[in-house]
Amino acid sequence: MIEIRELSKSFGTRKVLDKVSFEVGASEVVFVLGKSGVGKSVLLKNIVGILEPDSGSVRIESKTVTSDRAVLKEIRKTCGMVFQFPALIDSLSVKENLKLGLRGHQTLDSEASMNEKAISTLKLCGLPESLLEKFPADLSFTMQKRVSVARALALDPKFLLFDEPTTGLDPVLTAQTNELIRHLAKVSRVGIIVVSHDMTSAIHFAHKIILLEEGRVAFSGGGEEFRKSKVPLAVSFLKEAHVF
Amino acid sequence: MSSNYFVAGIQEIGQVAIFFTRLTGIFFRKGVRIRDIVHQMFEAGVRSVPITVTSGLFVGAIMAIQINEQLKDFGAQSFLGGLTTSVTIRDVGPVLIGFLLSGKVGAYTIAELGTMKVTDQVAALECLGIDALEFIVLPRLVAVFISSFLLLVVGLTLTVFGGAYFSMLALQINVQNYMNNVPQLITTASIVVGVVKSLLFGMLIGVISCYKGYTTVGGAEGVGKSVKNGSVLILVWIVILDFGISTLSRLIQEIFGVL
Ligand SMILES: Nc1ncnc2c1ncn2[C@@H]1O[C@H](COP(=O)(O)OP(=O)(O)OP(=O)(O)O)[C@@H](O)[C@H]1O
Ligand SMILES: [Mg+2]
Repeated sequence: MIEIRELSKSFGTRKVLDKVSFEVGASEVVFVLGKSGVGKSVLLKNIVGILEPDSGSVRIESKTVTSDRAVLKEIRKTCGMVFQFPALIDSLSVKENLKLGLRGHQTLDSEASMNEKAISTLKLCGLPESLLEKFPADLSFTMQKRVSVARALALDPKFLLFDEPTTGLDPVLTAQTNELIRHLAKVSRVGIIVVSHDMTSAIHFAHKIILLEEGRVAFSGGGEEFRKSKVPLAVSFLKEAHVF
Repeated sequence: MSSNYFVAGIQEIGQVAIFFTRLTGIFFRKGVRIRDIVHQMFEAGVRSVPITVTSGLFVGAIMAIQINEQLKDFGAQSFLGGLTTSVTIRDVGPVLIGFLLSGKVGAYTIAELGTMKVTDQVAALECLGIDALEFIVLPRLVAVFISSFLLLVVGLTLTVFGGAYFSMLALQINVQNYMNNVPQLITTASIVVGVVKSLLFGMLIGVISCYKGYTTVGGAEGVGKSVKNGSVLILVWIVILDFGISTLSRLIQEIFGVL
């Protein structure tokens, strides 16, 4: 379980997160919604300890996220992150990018088993094997993004944080990615946080929706509840997304 | 306000020192992969060869013209080669070529690391259990240090030829005569000072560019800022270090009678 308790984070005088609390259990898919710039990416970065909160805490499987490198490494082994930027390493091939986590966290010991894992995760994400020897610069942005999803999956994490996994994808790929997320939660029992602007997906398969507004949780609850919510931002989001 | 800048400046020196200590620690504990260094040296160093060669030759030529102006009033032009070479290698050469490299090797490294930082490549590595300092910063530091040092040495050597060639071409001075008193006036001391400066400037360019790149925040705009601030910082420190080393070498000379 990921437990986020009263998390606050400011940059200079600007308070980006203000006492944000929620939980994510195994097999659960939590969607985080909010306007651009509200602090969704900052929230995810606080969860895996890339940013340090000013106050409040994050616990993942009863380990508290600190600035201690050894603890962080332990936590990051079980909690993967897909960044808003694809964040592939430009100087490494797709194959080497996919193997980075396996090397860093030493989950597999032989090159052969790492290569095998790289191929199988690529396939799981619906990507062709021919990508393996390509470099990030040869791929489109969305393709890079999908490879970065595969890179996080290669570690078989118990929790996954997705920062806008479908932004920019065509409807078919969006559906495919959503299906993958659902599959991971249901079959592999992964606890998942998805930051997204995709209202339809949120309402259809989120177990829980967290709506951030001005640093606070303006709404928290299931998709059906969200649809009936009177929270002004929720109402306007629904209206603009034409989800009724 | 100005005292704030001063305090911030001092703090930054402290942070750079901590950063450097961490990297040295990793270097001695874990070493660094030769393949990564070679790759980076090619990226940042080899591309700077043409510019270093050109500027080396011209710096030599410019110094020869200036010193010739002074010497000819005393009819002492026979010392031109020796004086030009000595002054260029000790002082003007390292500074000017160092400036050039800060804009080329330094800026390249800051931009590259800065881009990796603001596009979350650095954070992604950390999430994948890889120490970004060890994996991407250290190889760059070593590569920038080695390439800057080598480029400085090449550039300095070429100043000698630039001076000689230009003296022959434009000042109608016989190359033989020009070179004649080079060995007399250019002492071991000049060479030592030149090499020491090249080593330190190389290290300076490496450390500051890696630090500025690695600590970049704020998107593409932030990368631009880091490149600008970093390059200027390197220039300032080259001048300060140059002054320091020159003063120190003079002191050593006075006290021990060498250098
Ligand atoms: N490292 C940082 N230093 C200073 N300010 C930052 C930093 N990271 C983020 N911010 C600021 O925090 C705020 C929230 O940023 P964040 O990237 O989390 O927004 P977001 O909700 O993910 O937006 P988007 O939908 O556009 O991705 C922004 O105003 C941003 O400028
Ligand atoms: Mg974001």
